[in-house]
Formats: sequence, C-alpha cells, structure tokens
Amino acid sequence: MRQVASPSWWIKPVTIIVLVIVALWSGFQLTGVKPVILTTDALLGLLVAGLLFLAAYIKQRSDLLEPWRQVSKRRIPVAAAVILAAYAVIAMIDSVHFRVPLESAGQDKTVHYSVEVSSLLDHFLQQIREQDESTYSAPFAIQLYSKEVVEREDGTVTRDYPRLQYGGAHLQHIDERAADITWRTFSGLIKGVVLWLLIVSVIAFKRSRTMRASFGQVLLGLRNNPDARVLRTIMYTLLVILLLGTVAMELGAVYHIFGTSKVGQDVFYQAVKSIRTGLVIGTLTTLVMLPFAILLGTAAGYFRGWIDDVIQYIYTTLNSIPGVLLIAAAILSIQVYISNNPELFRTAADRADLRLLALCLILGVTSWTGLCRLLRGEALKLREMEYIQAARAFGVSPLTVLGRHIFPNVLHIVLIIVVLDFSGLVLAEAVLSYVGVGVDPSTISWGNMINSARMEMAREPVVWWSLLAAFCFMFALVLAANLFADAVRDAFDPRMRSL
Amino acid sequence: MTAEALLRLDQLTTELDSVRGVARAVDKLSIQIRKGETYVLLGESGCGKSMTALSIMGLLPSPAGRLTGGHIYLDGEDLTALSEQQMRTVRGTRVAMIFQEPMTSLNPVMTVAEQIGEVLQRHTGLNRQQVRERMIELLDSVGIPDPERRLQEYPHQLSGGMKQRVMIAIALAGEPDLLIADEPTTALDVTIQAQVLELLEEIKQRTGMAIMLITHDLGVVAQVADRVGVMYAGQLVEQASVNDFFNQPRHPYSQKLFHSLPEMDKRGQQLDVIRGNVPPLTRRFTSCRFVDRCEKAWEACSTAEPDWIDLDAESGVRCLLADPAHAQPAVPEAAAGAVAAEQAGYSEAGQKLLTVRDLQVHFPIHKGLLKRVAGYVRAVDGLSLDLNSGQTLALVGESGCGKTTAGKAILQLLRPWTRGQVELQEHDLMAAQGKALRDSRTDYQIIFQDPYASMNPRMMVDEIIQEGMLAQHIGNSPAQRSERAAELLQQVGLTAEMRFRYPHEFSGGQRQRLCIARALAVQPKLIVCDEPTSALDVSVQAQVLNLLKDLQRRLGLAYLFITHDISVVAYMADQVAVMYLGRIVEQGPVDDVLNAPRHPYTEALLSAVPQADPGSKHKVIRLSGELPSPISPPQGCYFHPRCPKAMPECRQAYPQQTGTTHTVSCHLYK
Repeated sequence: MRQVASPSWWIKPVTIIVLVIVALWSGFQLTGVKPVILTTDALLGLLVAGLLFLAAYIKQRSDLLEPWRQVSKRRIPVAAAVILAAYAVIAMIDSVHFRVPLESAGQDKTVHYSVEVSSLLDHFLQQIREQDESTYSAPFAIQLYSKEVVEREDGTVTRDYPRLQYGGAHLQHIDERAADITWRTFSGLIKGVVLWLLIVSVIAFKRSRTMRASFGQVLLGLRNNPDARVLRTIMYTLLVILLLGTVAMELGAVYHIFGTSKVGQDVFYQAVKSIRTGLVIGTLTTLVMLPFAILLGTAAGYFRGWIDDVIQYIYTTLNSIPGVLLIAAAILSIQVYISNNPELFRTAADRADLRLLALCLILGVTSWTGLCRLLRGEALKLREMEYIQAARAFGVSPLTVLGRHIFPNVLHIVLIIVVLDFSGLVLAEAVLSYVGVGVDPSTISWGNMINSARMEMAREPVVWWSLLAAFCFMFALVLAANLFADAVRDAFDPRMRSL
Repeated sequence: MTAEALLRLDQLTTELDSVRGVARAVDKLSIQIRKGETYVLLGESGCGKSMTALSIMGLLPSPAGRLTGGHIYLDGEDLTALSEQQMRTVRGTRVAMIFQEPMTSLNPVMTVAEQIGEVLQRHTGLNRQQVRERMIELLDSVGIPDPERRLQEYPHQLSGGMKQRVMIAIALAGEPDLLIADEPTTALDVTIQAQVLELLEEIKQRTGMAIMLITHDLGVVAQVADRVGVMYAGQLVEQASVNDFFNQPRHPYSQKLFHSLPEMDKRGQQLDVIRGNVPPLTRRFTSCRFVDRCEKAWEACSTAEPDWIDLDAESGVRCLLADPAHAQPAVPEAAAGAVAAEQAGYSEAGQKLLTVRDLQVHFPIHKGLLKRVAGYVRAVDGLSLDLNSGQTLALVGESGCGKTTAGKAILQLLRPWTRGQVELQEHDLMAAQGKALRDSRTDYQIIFQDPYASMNPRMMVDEIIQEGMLAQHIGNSPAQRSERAAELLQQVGLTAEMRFRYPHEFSGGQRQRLCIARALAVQPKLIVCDEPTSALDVSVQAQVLNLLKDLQRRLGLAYLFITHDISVVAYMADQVAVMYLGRIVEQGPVDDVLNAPRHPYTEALLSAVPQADPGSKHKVIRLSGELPSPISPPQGCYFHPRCPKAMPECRQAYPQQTGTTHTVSCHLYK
C-alpha cells in the first residue's frame, strides 16, 4: 500500500474548529449572553482541538492507522467508545459557560449580567435544575423524606410528610403515580426511537451516496450485512443511550428520578454535572504529566550516566512521599491563596475552577513517575537497537535521535498508559473529594456527592440515592474506559500483532 | 534399510491464522521416518518445517494454528485421534523435542535438577534417590563434566552449548523413540555446533532412537543425515538418501540451494541466486510453487500443480521435469557460465585506508552501593589491523570474542571506553571531537546483522535513506535528496517507488539492501559489515553478497567484514583476521589462512565448519571447554587452556606476533 503524506491533512480539523467557534460566537451574539471562558474550558477546548489534529494526522499514515483499525473491528471497544463519546459530548456542552443578562431595571443603558455562571448544559436541564425542594426526597417521591409541621386544608396542624413543591406536583393522589410513570416512560421511549430512526436514516442516506446503492438497500444492508456488524453495534449503543436520555428527560421534568439532596437539589442533575468534573480531572491531569514523563523518561534511558542518575533520583524521591500528603498540602495552600486574594476572582465559578485546575496539576505532578519509569526502561532497550546505532553512526545529534527515533517508538506505551490511567484518575477524584482534599465543595462532582452522602448512610431510614446515582454514572464511565483501554492495549501490543 | 516406519505422516495439513488470512503452513505432507535413522527436513525459513514438528508434538500455537487434515502415525497409532490428556504421555516418553534457542527453552528460576526431575517424575515411577542417579547418568551421557555440581546450578550459570546439552538431557529423560530437533545448533558457534552434532550422532548409535532434524544448513545435513526431505512453501519437494541428494539433487530448488552457497572456488564470480522470495502461504496455488523463481520453468509449470513422483523406494521429487507424463522442454542454457565470465580477478589493492593500532575497549564493571569500578570486561584487548581501500578484511571468531565490539569501536560508537589509535586516511579519529567527529562520519558506515532491527519501523524508506544525508548536509533541497534516495535504491537493485513504503513491507533480503542504500547515501569509503547475511536464508544471502561485491568493484569500497561464517569469508574476503578473546591470533591473505592455518585455534575453528559434502570425512579438532570470560583472561596465551598443542611456556607469556604477510601469535612459531 503506497502512502504519501498528503500535505493538506490539517485542513479538515481546522475547518471543524473554525465552524464550532463561529457557531458558538454567533449563538452568543444572537442570545445576548456574555461568554465566560474558564481556564479549564480553554484547556479542554485545546485538548479537543489537539485530538482532532492527531486524528487527522493518524488517518493519513497507514502504519499509525493500522492499530486503530484493529480496535474499530471489535464490537466491545466500539460500544465503549460510543459511551465515552456520549460522556465527552455532555462534558463539552457543560464547558460552554456564559452569564445571562439580567432584566435591566429603569433607563440604565448598560446591561448587567447575572453573577451566576451557567453552562449550555444548565440551559438544557433548566427545568430539572430549578426544581429545588427543601431537603431530601426519595427517587420518584411526591413527598419529602422527613416529617414537617404542615397545615391541613381544614386548618389543623400536624406533623406529616409534606408534598413536594415540584416532584409529582401534578398528581392528585399517590395512586396515580404508577400509571403516570408508565405513560411518561412510554412517551420517552417513543421520542428516543424517533430520534434514533432519524439518525439512522441520515447515516443510511450518506452511505447510499458513497456506496451508490438505493436507500432501502442500504437500510436492509445495515440490518443484515455482516460487514455492517460494527456499525450495527454503534447504532444499538446509540439507541440505548438515546432511550435512557429521553426517558430521563421526560420523567425528570416532573419527578426527581434520583431523588433530591440535603439542600433539595435534584441528584440526577448533580450526577450529570459531575461528568465534566470527572473528565477534566481524567484528561487535563494526563496533559500535565505527559511532558514530564516523556521528556525525562526517554532522556534518562537514552543518555544514561549522570542524567539518568539525576532523573531516577527525582522520581524515586517523589515516589516515596505519600501522594495524598502532597496533594493535601498543595490543595490547602491553594485554598489559602484563594482566600487571601479574593479580588482576583470575579465569580465563585472562577474560584472553584482554579481549585479544579490546581488539583489536576498536583495530581499530574505526582503521577508521572510510573510512566517515566516505563519509558526509561523502553528507551534503555531502544538505544541499543541497531537503527539508533545507525543514526549515531551518521552523526545525527542526540536530541534529534530522541525526537525522531525514540519518541515515535514509545508512543504506543504512552497511549496505553494514558487510556489506562484515565479511569484511575476519575476514581482518584472521588477518593480525594471524599477525604476532603479534592475539588471545591461548591463544584459538583461524584466525589462530593459521595462525601455528602456518607453521613447519611448511618441514618435510619437510610438515604441511598446520592451514592447510587454517583455509582451508576461513574461505573458506566470507568467500565467503558477500561474496556476501551484493554482493546487499545491489545491492538498496540507488538506481541499480539505477530500472529 | 528396510526397517519399519516409526513415524508416518500421511497427508498432514496444518493451517495457521495470520493477519493476511489463513496460511496453509504444511500442505499434505507425507513422510516416513524409520527406526534409528536421522531424517533431515531442509528448507528456507517460512517453509513450514517448524510447523511440521509442532504438529507432530500437538503443540501448535493455539488458537491460531490447527490441524485440518491428514494423520500422524507413531508405531501405527494415530496421534491425531488422541486427546490432549493422552498426548501428554506421548510427549516426552515417545516423542521429545529440542528447540533452537537454548537460552529461552530453560526456565531461568529452576535449577537443572528441578527441570530434569520434573520430566523424570512425570514419566517414570522412580523414587527420589533413583531420580537423582538417573539425572547424573543423563547429564553424563550428554557430556556434561562434573554432573553432580551442575545439577544444582541455574541456567544462567551454564554456557550456550551446556544449555543445549541440558535440553537434550531433558529430552532424553523419557527415553523417547523419536527426537525432534528444531534447528538445534543454529544459535551456537561452529565449534560448539560440532560438539552437539557429534553428541546427537553418538546418542542415536547408542539408543537406536530416530532423529528428525530440522535445519537450513547444508553443511549440517551432510554431516548427520541418513535421508533428506526438502520442504518448499509447505510441501515436500524432494526426498532422497543423503548421498544421492548431494551427488544429484533432482529438484531445481535443491540444485539452486547448492549453487548459491558461497565457497572459495566461486571467488571472482557471482553467486548463483534464486530470485525473489518464498511465496506467501496464504495464497491458493494452482501452479508449481517454485515457478516464479525457477529457471527451468516452462508453460506447463504455471498451469499445473506438479504431483509427487516416487523415483524409487528411497527418493521422490515434486517437479514436472521428472514427470514422464509431461514432455521435457528444451532446458534453457544455464546462465551460470555467463555470470562467471562477467567479472574476473580480485579487486586491486589500493592505498592504505584504515589503520588500527592497539585498540582497546574495556567496559567497567560497577559494583556496590557507590558503584565503584570493580573490574573491566576486556571486550577488545589490543587489536591492530590495516585495510586498504577497495579491499575486504574479514574479522572472524566465535561469538563473544569481541569482533562486533571492535567494529563499533572503530566507528567511534563506543567512545568513552575506547583506547588506542584509529586512523582513516591519515585522519586520527580518536582525536576528533564534537562537530569534527560528526563530519568525519561520512567516511565510514555500518551495516548490521538484523535487517529487522536496523530500521526505524515508524519511518518511511525515503526518510530512512535521507537521514544520513540530512545529518551530513548532502543535497540542498528535500527534492534533491529524495532524488538521490531514488538513485540509491536503484543502485542496490530496488525500485525508486519503494521509497514511499515502510520497512515492514519488505522481506529480510530487501531490508538488507535498504540498509546498504542507507549507508551508501553519505558516500563512505569504509563500510563495517557486522554479520550482514547471518540472519538471511542461503538464497537471499547470495543476493546480498553479490550486491556487496558488485558495489565494491564499482565504488571502490573497503569492507571490514565481521562474520563467523567461514564459507562467506572464503567467498568475500581478501584478508582474514582471526580473533580470540579480544585479540587477533592470526592474520593474512585469505588463501593462506584458510588453506594453511598456523594457529591451533584457527585450525580447530576451520575443522569444525561442516562441509556440504557427505563424503568428506575430515577430522574435527575438538576444543575442550568454552570461551573464557573476558573479565579475567587466562595468564599467558589466552588460548592455552583449550589448546591441544599447549606447551609450558604458553602459560608464562602472551606470544609475540611473528610473520610478515601471514602473521600469527603463537609460541609454536618463533
């Protein structure tokens, strides 16, 4: 297969990025909101742009594309990738932040904006977000979870479970609930299926153009053709996600499907908002650690001698300090810095965002040692390879050897470790927030949800839904990431390729 | 020779899943092995020899490989019908196998006793004391001195030859009727190879066991075989008794194999090559599998698949030439004569190019907490040689004698540990530093042994070839460099379009050509060839050797040819230097050294090389022991502990070098 690097591979990603920026900007102009770019938003944006470029580059290099083609031929990783993509889309929507203009009072020409920074996702979930109760309520409950003094219609005062302000407020009596839920689930399912069919027909239409077959043939092919097996997997995974989404939206409009938290916030909303926090920690941390790990690891292995000694000394020292201690110290000092310099932050969101970023940084700084050690070992092996010797015999400079020969040949290890580490980092956030040194308490995250639910585990009757919601969302993400990572590792493992 | 068949393969077919589809690694193979005979399966890599062995053992890689047809009869019992449970008792007691790589066949964390004992306990009902006695007996029978001590040792304490002996002992533990040896000596030096082959022969004589030996080395075949089967692309193409095979090979492929062997007599002419490569076995064949590479092919060969033809009870061949049903075409005149006439005479001796004096490479051994230098590995210990431009100097020796280290040290790749004097055209390389050194690298280049490891798999051929030009500022623009890369590819017999491919798309021989093109890109005067053909098959080796000779003639290159293969030396070299433990013991013109060796080590080395001629019953001079450690070389002459002619004074002092053109360092010559 002849492959010449086509010089215009970067056009497509640039087009996509420009289109997205233009769309967002015109959206802001039309609605008159004031965009707010948090640091993590910018970094996430850069990361996605970088991934787009990387994907476009890989696509035109047959040797780099091959392992990915292997991954895309297997059904489980493809399904996992769809789930990951769904999470990523939610996180990206949640990363478009803005401040809504307030109704201007009087003749004041200047527009004032709300101090609250909200995201596009908040906007979509507005109904759910604003339906705050006063305290705990169970999933699908129509009454609060604790007794309060209520006044009856006849004027008498008793202690009873009061009706919720929003949850099931349209119901006259609890007996109507089952029928209502059934009906709404059904209508949600219908909507989901319709949406799915729409997507399927768009795909079938595109395929019929490229394959020069009639629309009906393509649809039939999608169902029966063994070649479309993977595409079918994608479609069915998408169907499941869509159905879950539409049913949740339909029910969430009038019920709290995962109950409410201590302050009466909808737990489903919290769980969805936590996705961004989890992904930010999982991805940005990696971004922080990669330069350390790659540069130091390959340099140590290639140069040997005193450079190796110094780098080994650094990471051995860093490794022997307990990570949690280091993280706690760093986070606490950041907190002191934040409270001493309140003038630097315009909104609470800014403050919380800085702390999130700080957590990413410190997690990154403590977690590069493992990859560094692996890369050092690999570079030690590679430096004895004959092509490196040949390059040295040509008088190629050491830095060029590192960049041109060593780095591309350890890239697969970097990739495997990054994908494997991702799920570990998401879990690390939960653990750290639970310990109290994680993200800002005002940031919604799975760790914070678990932390706040922890006290209520001892209570009778037990409040279980916060935990369950965080568990379900985290479980789906981490499982998908792990399944995907397994497939990536298999595809990039040279031993698996030999036969 | 009417003994009954011990092993009979009947239409054995084995398939293997690969990335490119299902490969039929063994295709309807039928052979018989009789009791007490040595049957050699000969062929190039990728012809299905090893898969045949693994099929017999029931050890095919799972789930990729499987038996899809045929039967394996051992003493009349069909092994293919046995369950895995039953096969386990067959393995070890009735059929045993030894592998190519003794280093990886033994478990590094178990002692020799544990590894042999494991087999004995499984297959015999002996008690502990008896097992121990039997183990000592076994080690003794494979020629391991001091077996009681060796039993308690771990594999890393044994040398390569010892490990292979232990492997043979383990295989013999269950007293098998058939021993399958898959390239048992390929990883070993010639002197050790001679010992192991002798041992196998002796065991066969003593126990009456049959041996199925897999090899690609015609010399080994001549030395041990009773009967030979030649495999090509999964099929048996020829079978004959060893004398018939060497006197009159029937199949064109076998004939070609003989012609492509490098030998002294073929100096000055080009080697006969088999063009192309073994076809991929994923293909479904409708023609003769050898047709694309055969010079005797005619139309019928590409339309019909030849059947197996029994010539007599002993032999048969799979070729239309031997088939009476097909009319014999007029055989095209063999091109060999024309090739021989094309070039004559050796390359002329030019001016002095490379001078090496007293080169030393001492690697420090660090020990302890503070990494103090506890001693030195004297890999190269005072080496001196001269090389004229346009000439080839072969550096010969066993593995571990420091010949590769010497090559790399001359190229200034082992700078911090190298001492001595290296001059290239009056230019002192040892004194050059930084940029001056980097700039000088355009004059000397290297070609490596392993064509798979010597190119960055992530770079396109174009980039690979341009790397040296970039570093040495040859060519002004990318277009100019790319054009030069295209020229170079054509010069080494590839096409210009190939520069847009990646190394993994090339075969071993093609890759070695790419490496040569890469080295030529900076227009060197000297190329160090570090075993450039030892990883290649005989037919491909011939192609590469031809190319190297041709380039030398046209470009006036000088080669420092590092090798252990004496036949390649005989064909390629003008001068020979024999190395032993970091020093040159004998040096001189190739005819003198190979035909009239003076140093006892050279004599032993040459006698151990198996000749591709079953008639030649030359005596192998057996060296006792192994190569000593270069950390603490012996007192006096380094060779004296193994030397059959050692004298008292050999222990006292290292001998002076004597002689003028044919020099030798030995106390025998004063």
